Amino acid sequence: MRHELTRPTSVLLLISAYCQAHVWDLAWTIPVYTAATLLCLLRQGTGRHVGATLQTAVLVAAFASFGLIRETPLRTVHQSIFLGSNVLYVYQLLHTMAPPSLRARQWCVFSSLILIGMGTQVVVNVTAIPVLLVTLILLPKALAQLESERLDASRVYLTPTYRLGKRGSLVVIVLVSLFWLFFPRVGSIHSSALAGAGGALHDQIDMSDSVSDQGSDRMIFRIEGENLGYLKTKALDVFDGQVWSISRWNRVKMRNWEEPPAGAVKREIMVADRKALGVDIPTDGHVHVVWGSTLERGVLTRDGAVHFASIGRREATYYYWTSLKVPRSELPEREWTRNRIAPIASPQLQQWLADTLGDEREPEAQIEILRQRFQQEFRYQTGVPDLDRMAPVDDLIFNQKEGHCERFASAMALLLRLRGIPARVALGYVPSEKNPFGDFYNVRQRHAHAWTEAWYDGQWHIVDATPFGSGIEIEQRQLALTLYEWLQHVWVSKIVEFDVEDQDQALRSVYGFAVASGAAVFAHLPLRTLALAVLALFLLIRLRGGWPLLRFRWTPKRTPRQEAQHFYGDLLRALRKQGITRRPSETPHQLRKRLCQHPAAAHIDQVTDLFCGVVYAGKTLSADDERRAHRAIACVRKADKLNGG
Amino acid sequence: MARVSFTKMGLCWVAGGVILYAASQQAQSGLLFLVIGILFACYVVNLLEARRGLALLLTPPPAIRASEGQRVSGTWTVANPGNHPAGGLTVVAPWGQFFTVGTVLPRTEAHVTPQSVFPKRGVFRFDELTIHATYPFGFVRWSTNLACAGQVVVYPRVYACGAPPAGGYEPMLGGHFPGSHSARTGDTFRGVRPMQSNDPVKLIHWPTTSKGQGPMVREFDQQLSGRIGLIVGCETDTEEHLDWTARAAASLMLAAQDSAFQLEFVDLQSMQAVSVPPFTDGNSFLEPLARLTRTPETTTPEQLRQAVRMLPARSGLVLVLPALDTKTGEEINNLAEVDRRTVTVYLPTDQPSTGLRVPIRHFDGDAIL
Repeated sequence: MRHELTRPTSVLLLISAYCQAHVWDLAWTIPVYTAATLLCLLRQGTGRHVGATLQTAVLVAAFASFGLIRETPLRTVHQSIFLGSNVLYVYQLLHTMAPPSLRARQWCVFSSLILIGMGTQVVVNVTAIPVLLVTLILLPKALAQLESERLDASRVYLTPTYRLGKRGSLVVIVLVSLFWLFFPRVGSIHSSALAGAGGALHDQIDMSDSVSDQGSDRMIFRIEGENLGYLKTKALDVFDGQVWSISRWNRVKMRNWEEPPAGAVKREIMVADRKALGVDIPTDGHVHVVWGSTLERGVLTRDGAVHFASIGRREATYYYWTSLKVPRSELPEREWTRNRIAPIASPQLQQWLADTLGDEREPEAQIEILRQRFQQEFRYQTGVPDLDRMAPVDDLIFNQKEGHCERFASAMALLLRLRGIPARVALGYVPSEKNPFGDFYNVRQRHAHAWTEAWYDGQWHIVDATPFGSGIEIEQRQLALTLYEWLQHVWVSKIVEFDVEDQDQALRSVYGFAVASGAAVFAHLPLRTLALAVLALFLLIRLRGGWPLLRFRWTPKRTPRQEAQHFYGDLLRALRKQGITRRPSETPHQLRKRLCQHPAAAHIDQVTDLFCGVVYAGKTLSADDERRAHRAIACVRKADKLNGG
Repeated sequence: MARVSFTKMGLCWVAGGVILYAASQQAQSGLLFLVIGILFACYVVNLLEARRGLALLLTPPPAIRASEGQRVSGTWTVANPGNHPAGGLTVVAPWGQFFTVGTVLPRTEAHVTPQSVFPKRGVFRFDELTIHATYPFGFVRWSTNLACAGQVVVYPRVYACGAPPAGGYEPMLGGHFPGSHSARTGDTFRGVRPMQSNDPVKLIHWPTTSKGQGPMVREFDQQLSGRIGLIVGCETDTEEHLDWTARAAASLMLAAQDSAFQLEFVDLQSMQAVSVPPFTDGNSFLEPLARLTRTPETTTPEQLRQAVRMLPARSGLVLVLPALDTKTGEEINNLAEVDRRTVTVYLPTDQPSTGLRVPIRHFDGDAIL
């Protein structure tokens, strides 16, 4: 039984169970899946397995039950794929309990690889590295073992099984890398790392939706500068009572780049994850100009954000100059009207608003009262239930009284609009983690934030109604954690999300490097030196009797007997190419006698004498003998060519 | 010429790889490409490693003989002269899988005894054997014909039966039939008689000589042995009847050997007479029977007459025929009635024997009835 558990096929099945458990995104699924797999493996071959009819019935039931599940994390990922993979896993478990057979093991390895492949869609962080490493080691081993068993099953002469070895492993790793780099990709990676995060970086937000966490530690960008505030990427101005979205008006160009005046501050942003960042560059203050070598077709839009058609295919660094003091201006009539549109509020909400604000008419005072009330009576919390979709603001204010930043920003914007103050929801980041080694901030996914912007006194003012958002707290992180995060960042950005664009870029880089290197070498290397080098190499080859690199021994030195068998085997192969086959039971001397008319008979005699002397007479083989043998074999080959072979 | 192709298992895994590749187009991470890459690497490694399997040196045993339904004897030597492990060989014969070889380590030899059972008699050349190398994963198969001289001769199966009627009995040492005369040598002691001139001294029976009646010598019963001329036909419509015929002929000849008959054998295909002395091994007549193939227009009266002329005139004629037509039957009747030969005809059970006026026996694939 222990032997069964240590088989590569069983370990692969356990790995696939681990991957499948991650699909559910629930803590208890990993031990349950692992225990179920172990149990089935232990019951393997006990005779108490599930019959084929029952297997089919369970399979159908599994399809039905998985299909009926609606409120699971499956909903947010590719449900059809994971539905199929989980059913495949259940079927595999039932199949595992059947008596062990070659076909069952072949199916086990096949389904395990499919399940691991599906599992890599959810196990995307660094825990995927051991999964892939174990797969890399065990899959060839399992396949070789299956092939040995297949030969054994057909009455094989059983000999040692295949071992990949160091060189084989190296070859496999190189091949995997080449495949990964060169095999054509078609689609882009549909990143899942942002799904379910507390950040608000999409083009629309549904304030009734809940989020399960506060966002991951995935690095988005680093920013260097003093007095950093809220870094806005976009502003949502259309609200239909449930969903905030961005209007096309907000994407219209507002003004041209301008020369930064004296007193403008410079910010430097190093993009760490362009996919997560998107094409909206986070900025603060009144931006004058943005510059970056890889930025293409940027505009300052009506929502006060900076939008680019593309920010390049590689990690980019860009700069912008901004004034922290925003100049006063006039809000266009169209924009004034648009940002005051609000759905009809319920009488209860209108009453609550009237009770809260009383007769206060000053926008700033009203905002402060509302903000204070949110700060005091409400609580920041993720993972809370969804709001009522028909009246989400009412549900937040009167019932739940807790939620994440999007809800408070949405509620504040709506309440201000109800009071006639132009307001909108802004999305962006709040940098709060200053690097201990450098004077810059790490901005991660969990630093994504939503707040409200209200128009009064001739400019848009930031209003953060989220209870924790009264001030920016500076975080400090441990060195080991920082290093781990760097590793994770490299893994995710360079491996997991390596898509068709990255592949194209990498291939272009390789090609460009090769062309540049070649050009550099041929440009700077004098032709005379090159000719001398070629001549020296040629002489070296001639004097050494062969290509030096090819003569390098990768294997341990052979015994004289092995060496003699080796060159005699070479001789037989050379003769076989000429159509001369050593007959069964023909001794070397008989073969030599038969080939006495061969054009290279003398060389065949020489090799045969050396071979027989070493193998049968126990003579030693000197380096000179080896060289003579190889030359003789080369002569035998040449003799065939001379005869027109 | 080496050929490369996918095995069934390799095709299944290609299908799996295609599924994963299709899934990767909607993937949420590029890790799926790494998984497919591992599979791809296994294919490439298989392609390279399996090619080495064809370079293994396969040395067959000096002679391979077997009988129908029996395992072949003899051990094959598989040598790996290269620097890398090789193997995963499957040697396939026209009748099915011959033998398989696992891994052969570099600079070593493996000895393989095929477990294959030959279903049918015949002669199979080694260059008809095909080598499939699938080492190490069984995804890709390199195939080539075995470049090796030699052949496997599969004898027809024999069963127990009585010896056929013989003719032309002659004194012969070791003969199983007692004659009416006495002889100086033999197995059965007959008595003593007074010594005559030319009697060798070693024949003197000393116990009776010592009683004073002069020198007495021993006498033995004369031993006789018959002669059989066996003709095997090969004109038939069905391969099964020919196999039955070969088995019946082989069984009859071995039975005749056991009965110490002098045997002459002619098959109507090659028309070459083979003389088989008693107590010799059966290779001389089993091999022609193994090579027997269906040949039309061979069981004709003229052919039969020519074959009879190749056999001794005093032998009992035994004809083992897969089929018989009327003209040949008349010729057989003439042999028995005009030439006064002792003729016995053996025919398959479902063959009619109308018109024959000689003793007829029937046989099927397992016995002579």
